Amino acid sequence: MSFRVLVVPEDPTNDRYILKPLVEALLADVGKPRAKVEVLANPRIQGYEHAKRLLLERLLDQYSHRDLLLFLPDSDLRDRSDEFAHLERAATERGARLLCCAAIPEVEIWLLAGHAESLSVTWSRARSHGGLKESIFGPFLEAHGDPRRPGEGRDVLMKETLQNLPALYSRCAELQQLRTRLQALMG
Amino acid sequence: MIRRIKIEGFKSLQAVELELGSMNLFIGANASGKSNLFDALRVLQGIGYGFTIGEILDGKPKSANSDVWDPIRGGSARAAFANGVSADEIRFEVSLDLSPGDARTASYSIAFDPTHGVLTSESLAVDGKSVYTSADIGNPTGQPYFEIRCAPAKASRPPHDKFERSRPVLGQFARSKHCLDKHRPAVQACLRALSNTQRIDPSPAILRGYSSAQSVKRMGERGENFAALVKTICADGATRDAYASWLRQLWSSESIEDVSVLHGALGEPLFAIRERGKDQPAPVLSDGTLRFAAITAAFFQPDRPDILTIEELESGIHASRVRVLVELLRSQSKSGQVQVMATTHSPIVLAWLNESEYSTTFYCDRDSSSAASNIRPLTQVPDFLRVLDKQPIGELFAEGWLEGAL
Repeated sequence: MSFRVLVVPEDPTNDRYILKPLVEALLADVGKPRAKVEVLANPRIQGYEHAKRLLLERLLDQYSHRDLLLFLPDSDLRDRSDEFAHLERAATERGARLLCCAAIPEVEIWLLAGHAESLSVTWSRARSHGGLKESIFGPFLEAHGDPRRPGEGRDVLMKETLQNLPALYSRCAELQQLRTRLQALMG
Repeated sequence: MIRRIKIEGFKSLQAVELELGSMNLFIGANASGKSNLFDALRVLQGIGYGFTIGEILDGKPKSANSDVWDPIRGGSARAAFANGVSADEIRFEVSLDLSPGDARTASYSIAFDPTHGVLTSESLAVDGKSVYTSADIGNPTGQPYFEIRCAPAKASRPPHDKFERSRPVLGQFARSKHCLDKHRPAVQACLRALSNTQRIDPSPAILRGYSSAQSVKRMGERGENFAALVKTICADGATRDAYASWLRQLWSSESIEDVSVLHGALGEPLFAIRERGKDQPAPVLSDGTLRFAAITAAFFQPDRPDILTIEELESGIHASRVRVLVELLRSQSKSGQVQVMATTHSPIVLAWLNESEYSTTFYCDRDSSSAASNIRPLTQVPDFLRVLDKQPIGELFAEGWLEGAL
């Protein structure tokens, strides 16, 4: 039976094209190449607080039968460690396995990690930019995406990023930490 | 792209005025006026084709120059808004972009008597400057021809030009010697913008069959020559991959590899998908899969329409995949090259809208006393935005909150 994972984004509209292939690659990297990964689309989550509320109100109970739940929101340059610890404890109490990991500063950074040389700013500036989505990712997508595809080509760009996982881990320390936690989970 | 449309006296649309965007959704109960609005777009299309008013309303057989034109539902006898009162004039006004990338805007208006199939007034202006108008000209009832005043008037030109009265002037004017060379491209662009509408209502039975053509740039309304269109799409690797990437979103299965086209004994194309290395031909695919594949293909047609109309968008699509349709419509209409007009009964479609799209999501209902359709953007439905803070839009729609809200 395949390893079943539900990814909870803070907005599935475009994040799904980044998160699904990313999580599949991470799981393959820790020995689960056939994991079945689903990004929660219904109900449509709109924002970090909405996602957190839904997790506590019903998702942790409703999806406790999944092998793993992953909550992968934007950090928005905030320290979310206390909130994540609370969510993960709540999951354990309900018999669910939840890992939380926030993208610094936003989920789009995980795609950009494979295209750092194409950005108009340095990598450290991108990692600390408060308006990454609009100011850096938007122009990048316009230049390198494909408006004919779902997610305007995020899927293809993410595929390119995932061809070099070590570079992704080195540019995004939070993903390296997530990988370590996943590996520990797999035993 | 139509920016604004005003309709008076047509079917249930007694007086409707809408500001449109690139993606427009129409919601409301059955018989609330959604289909009548789409019929109005067909009237404009018939004008763009240069048909007579009688032909537009009552249909036209196939000719050397045109295909069969189906009548507007109810024909000329039921075209006017009546409600017990004798109605003798239907009026349309549109503001439209002449073509993608052309900054000029045309304002076109026409009024006609549907019973006798004759014009009562008509005018065209480009960027606010009159090209022709029938205003201030009598054109008395019974006069066999229709007079307009062309602009700018010159001493050497007659003030009035005469045209066939049973046919919109626009098409006649484009071919007439009275049309100045500087106006002709804009008049022709206006005709094309009105006529280049495609209604998509794919029939799974037709989609399952072989195409009669080998390769086409546009499929038929019911999906005729769908496989031949997919063959055209697949001729370019990047376009094929972009098309297939949408279908993979619908299936959401790793086993689906690609789209493919099979061929019959005479080389006739047949749509198929490739799954686990094997082709699954159209006859074994589900209705929803085929319908989605056809709607998606409509956005990849080399001969793209300016306006694409789709009724009951979500028909046959699994609830958890309806979001893919919304994303498809949004992303493909975003460039402004195709304007989408779609009807839906699905709360999930509404749940996937962005707030900025509420101004081009229209709620339709019928006034119980006058039987006239009210069509308004959600942003103008009283209390809508306030209530939205407390309950998601999909739930509001599903529980009937919108009914009677106008």
